[in-house]
Amino acid sequence: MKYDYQILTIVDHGVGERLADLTREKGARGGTILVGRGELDSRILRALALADVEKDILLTLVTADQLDAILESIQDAPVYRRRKDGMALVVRTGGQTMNNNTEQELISIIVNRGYAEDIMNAARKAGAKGGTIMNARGTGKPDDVKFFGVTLVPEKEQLLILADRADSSAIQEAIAALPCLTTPGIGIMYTTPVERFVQLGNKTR
Amino acid sequence: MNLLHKLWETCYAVLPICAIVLILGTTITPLDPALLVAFITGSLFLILGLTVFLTGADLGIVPAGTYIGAKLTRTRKMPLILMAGLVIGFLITIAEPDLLVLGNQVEAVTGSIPGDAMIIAVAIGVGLFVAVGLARTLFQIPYRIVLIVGYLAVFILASQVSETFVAISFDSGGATTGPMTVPFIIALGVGVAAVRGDKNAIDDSFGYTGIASIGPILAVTILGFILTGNGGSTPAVGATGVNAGQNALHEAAALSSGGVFETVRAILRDIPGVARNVFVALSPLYAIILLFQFFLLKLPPQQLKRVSLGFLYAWIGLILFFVGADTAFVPAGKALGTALGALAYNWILIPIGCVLGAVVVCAEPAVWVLTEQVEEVSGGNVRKRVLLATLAIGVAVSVGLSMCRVIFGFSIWYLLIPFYAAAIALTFFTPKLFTAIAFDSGGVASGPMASTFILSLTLGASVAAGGNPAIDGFGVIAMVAATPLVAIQVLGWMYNLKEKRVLRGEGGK
Repeated sequence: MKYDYQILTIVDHGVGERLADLTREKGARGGTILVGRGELDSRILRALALADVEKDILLTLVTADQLDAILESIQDAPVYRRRKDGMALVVRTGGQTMNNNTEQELISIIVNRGYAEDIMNAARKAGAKGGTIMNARGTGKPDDVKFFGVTLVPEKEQLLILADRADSSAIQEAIAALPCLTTPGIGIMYTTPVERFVQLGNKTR
Repeated sequence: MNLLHKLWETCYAVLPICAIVLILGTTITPLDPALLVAFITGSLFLILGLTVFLTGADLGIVPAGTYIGAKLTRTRKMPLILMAGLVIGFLITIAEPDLLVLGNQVEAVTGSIPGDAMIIAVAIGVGLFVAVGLARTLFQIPYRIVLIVGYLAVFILASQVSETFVAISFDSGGATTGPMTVPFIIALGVGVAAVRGDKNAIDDSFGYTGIASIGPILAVTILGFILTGNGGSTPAVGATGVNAGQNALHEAAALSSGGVFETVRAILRDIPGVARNVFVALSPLYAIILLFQFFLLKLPPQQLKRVSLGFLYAWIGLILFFVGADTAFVPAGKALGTALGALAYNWILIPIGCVLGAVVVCAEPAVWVLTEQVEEVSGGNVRKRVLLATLAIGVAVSVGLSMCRVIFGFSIWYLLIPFYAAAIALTFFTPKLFTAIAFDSGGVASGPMASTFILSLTLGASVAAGGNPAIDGFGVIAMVAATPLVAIQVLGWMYNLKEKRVLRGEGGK
């Protein structure tokens, strides 16, 4: 089977598994859930460092004819409490984009652990609405250091920021200009065109 | 939002204790209504304090510990790593308020060891054993070997000193690993393991607190060993214990004369002292982090701000927590223990002790930090709730057995030796991760809730039932630190059996 699209669903922690079950009912083969963290959209809480929320990131690979049904099942899932309670993005697998004038881009940044909050801050100032941070680990290069026979691997953070195409380059420039990111080899940044974007939430509110 | 989520969780943890105390206090052991009002007020402080503290620990203490552990390992300089372990262990222990209390107790008991000497000895003990823990991981020495050697030394020395010293030294193992030091030591270990790429890294994430709590036990036993000739006489201890019990009764009486108003006033009076104590305890930790930040860590500004705010929250949270514990849990525990011990059917202490032990451990701050870290490091494989339930069973058994001791007055050796022997024996059957978690949770379970509520309950019961409060009281903490070692390892054994069965089942398909 050839998968044409990947759906990235970002929701509150604990909801991911129920969504995965729902997508399976609609024919998805499975799903991968990653745990990440996001920030509430409140300036005061952010300043007090109290805005952190745990998130689930559900990755689902689908074929072109499954896409609509599965996306709909994610959208209609009876799990959302707030009016805006997460989002789903669709990106094409294999790299070739059919639709050259996509509205949004997904900016992915992989950096050494500890820098994601600073990057998030800079991105917000340049117009980003939010982002999701996941803890990750580098796999280690052949020339990586050994210590008492054990390979030491770099700890990383991956940061996902969804941006309108118009804002995207400003956000990327703001991130690249951060003084704490000037060391060579500290991280990488790339963008993926987003085919479709769906705001998830409770429609009755 | 994480803060609200934490508030719910702490409510779940603390409300059962309140319910039980209120039920007992209005039925079989009627307590003064004013005391009950004070208890409820204090419980609210406790819930709020625990919530704010855990938020602060998540933001400040835990990430800072992890960053330092990871960065230290990355330097690949063995002398630096070991020195850092020694210094960190020493500095965070010397400021622990519980240790000051313990030092004073030992000074009173022996009359010949100055409290300061004892505090320094214990702090060196912790520092050395944090370094031993780091060295163990780096040289890949099996955890079990360090435990066997450490506890063998403890038991050989302990058999040479008086029973009072045995009780105090095991108590010190629990007392020194308090709510500030434990999260930091746990995080340090997780950080050291996090930069490793091998598959054993998860197994080695925990166990540092378990090793670190051997340090103070050894230090105090060695002090006792040196002083067996002239100190450690039991009658003297008994006297201090009785005094403590009677003071508590006075406090309870004083509290019961006022109302809500009086309680609030008592709480406000308590705040400045507690605030100072917690500040003194947290500042060396923060100083260590700033030092590392300057020379090694170099965190970006936003991260440093989060860590600093985390420390501020931890400080505020612990003030609220301790004020709540002091004004509510100590007097209520003592009054309840005294009333229960004075009953004609005082055997009821045993089941009630079990139930209270089970619920109290769930309100222990460091227990939450440990269980959260375990869930995170194991990728959700070892659930927080399962660990909490197992710890609750373990502590229920220990408080129940301690109440048996209060009533029947047998030696603590009959309990400590079998439990530690079983704990060591189980290390051969249990997955390594669970052994490490088990020995960590021993130090973690015997935190401020055990040393306020459970200790005062036991002291009160012991006074009323005509026991020896000092020996009974100190023994209960030693027991609370011992039973989780067995309980968590049995859990690990069960996980292992289940996993094998699942694997076999899949192989058959």
